[in-house]
Amino acid sequence: MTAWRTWSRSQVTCRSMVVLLPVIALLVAPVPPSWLVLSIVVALSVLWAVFPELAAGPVVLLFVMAWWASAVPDPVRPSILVAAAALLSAHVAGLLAAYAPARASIHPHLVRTWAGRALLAFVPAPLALLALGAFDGGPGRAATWPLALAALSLLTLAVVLFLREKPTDLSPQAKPRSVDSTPP
Amino acid sequence: MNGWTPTPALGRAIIVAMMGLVGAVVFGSPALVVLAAPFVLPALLGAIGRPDTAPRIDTRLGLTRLHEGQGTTSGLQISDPRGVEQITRVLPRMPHIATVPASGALAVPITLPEASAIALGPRRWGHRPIDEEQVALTSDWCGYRWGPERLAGQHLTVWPQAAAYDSAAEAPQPDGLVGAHRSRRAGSGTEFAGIRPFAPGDRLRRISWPVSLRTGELQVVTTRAEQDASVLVVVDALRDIGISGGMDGRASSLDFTVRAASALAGHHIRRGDRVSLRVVGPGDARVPLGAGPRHLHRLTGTLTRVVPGSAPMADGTLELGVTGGCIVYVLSTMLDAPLVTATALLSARGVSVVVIDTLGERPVDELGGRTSTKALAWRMRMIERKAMLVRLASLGCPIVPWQGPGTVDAVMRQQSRRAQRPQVRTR
Repeated sequence: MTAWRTWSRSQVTCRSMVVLLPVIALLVAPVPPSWLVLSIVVALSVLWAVFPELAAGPVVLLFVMAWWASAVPDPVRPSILVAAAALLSAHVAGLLAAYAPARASIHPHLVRTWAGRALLAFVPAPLALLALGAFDGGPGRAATWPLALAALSLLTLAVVLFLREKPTDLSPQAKPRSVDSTPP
Repeated sequence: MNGWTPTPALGRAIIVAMMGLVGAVVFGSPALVVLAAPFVLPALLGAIGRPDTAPRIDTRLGLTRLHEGQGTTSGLQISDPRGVEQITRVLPRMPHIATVPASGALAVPITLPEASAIALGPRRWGHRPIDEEQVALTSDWCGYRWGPERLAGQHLTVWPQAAAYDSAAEAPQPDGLVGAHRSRRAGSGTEFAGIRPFAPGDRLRRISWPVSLRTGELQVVTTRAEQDASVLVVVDALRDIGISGGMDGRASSLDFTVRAASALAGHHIRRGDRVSLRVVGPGDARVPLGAGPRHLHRLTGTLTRVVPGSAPMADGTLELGVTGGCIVYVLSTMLDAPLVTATALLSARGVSVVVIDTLGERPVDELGGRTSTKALAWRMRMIERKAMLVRLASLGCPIVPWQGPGTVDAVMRQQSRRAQRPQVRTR
């Protein structure tokens, strides 16, 4: 039970974010979550932080999203952007934690790269919120359908690409290009 | 595992984005659209970035033979790295090998190839295996992963630390041809021996003209010959007392022994002496007399292969194979009676024997405290050993603890003076 002592500082930071951010996504809602919901999210987040490649990750994210959809009444308020940012950051923190064992430090270059990517990935969230408001004259349900369908179509395309098997080039004629980090 | 497989992060992004948007459509929830929207881009870009290559991964050590405390790097070679964004390397933890990074694991972008090298620094002599390493490659946006691939382990040969050792003492009984030690017999050296009348065959440049003028007949200056000595280094590998902490920690008795033997052999080889080695223990390795850098390499290699014995040595006569006029260094903890007896016999025969005590100080904490059974047994053993060493010293065999440079200077001078005197020897 003392294995966590060997974790690097950057990994501890990342995994702490994995635990805290889904909880923050709950707490920023206009409606306070019940203790049961909070306990479930904390438990799943801890499991995700300890095993970043486990299925607990998508489960905790979907659980928080489902709670937002069911417990928070319409209209959608801007505080949802904080929740979206928290969930995305938890995903990125889990991804960084899963790159290497817990004893390995996370390279600063990697953190910078993924911070930039997270910012880029977050852009659709405020756009979606604005679109929802623009279509309806205020945040409302009417614009949900076209937006969700458009995004769903894009995702379907991605899934098709994801599932498509690409032939792996194993021919010896493949011209090798080597990356050599061995000093001369 | 070979082939590019989707990462859990990609799966998570796709599931969350898809389930969120499906939920938004099914339940008509705008909140789900906003919450799922940030996951669409990572899911899309990760999914479309599948590389179509089959990279071959290999590691290469910069050096495979080095001294304790020196370092080398384990570099990574990847053929056809198209589409690879990230390299993850994980080395298992290995005893007596320090790594940079200290965890032995790293995840770095492929754009920083120098950062993907792991520096290895062996902290103890011997054959050090570098265990199987795992390497994984990740594509853009952490979409797909190649591996982790297990790469075959390698070996490092770690020679004992090249400790600075020097001794100003001359050998007591040099018996070779040409060397740096002052001999007892006259020869063509530089050390003044005396003046005697000129005899046929003497070189003219040896004539001492002032003395010749005073005495009225030709006198020549005689000098002492300079010869090399033959040295036998006896290494006691019958047991290893204490826990080795490598170069940075406490030294075990075998650490002291091997490092001291390496330093002594190096010193005598540099002075032009002939050195032989005898390892008393598993393998019973013997290296005959020899000189020169190649011979030193052979001696050091033999020392690197020393492993401690586990069973006590059977009682009996131990023959060390000493030739006449040889200097014998016995590097031992002096805990085994056969080795002590062999040393005493050599000393009685008039051989120049120096015992270098490599036991060192052992804290009682290692034995579970002062009042523990182990500590009590150890103290009793030490009393027996002390009595044995006193008897050995009474035979004229010097016993010195290993202290680095100058350890044997005083005793070697003493032995040299003793060698000048006529002796009665036991055969």
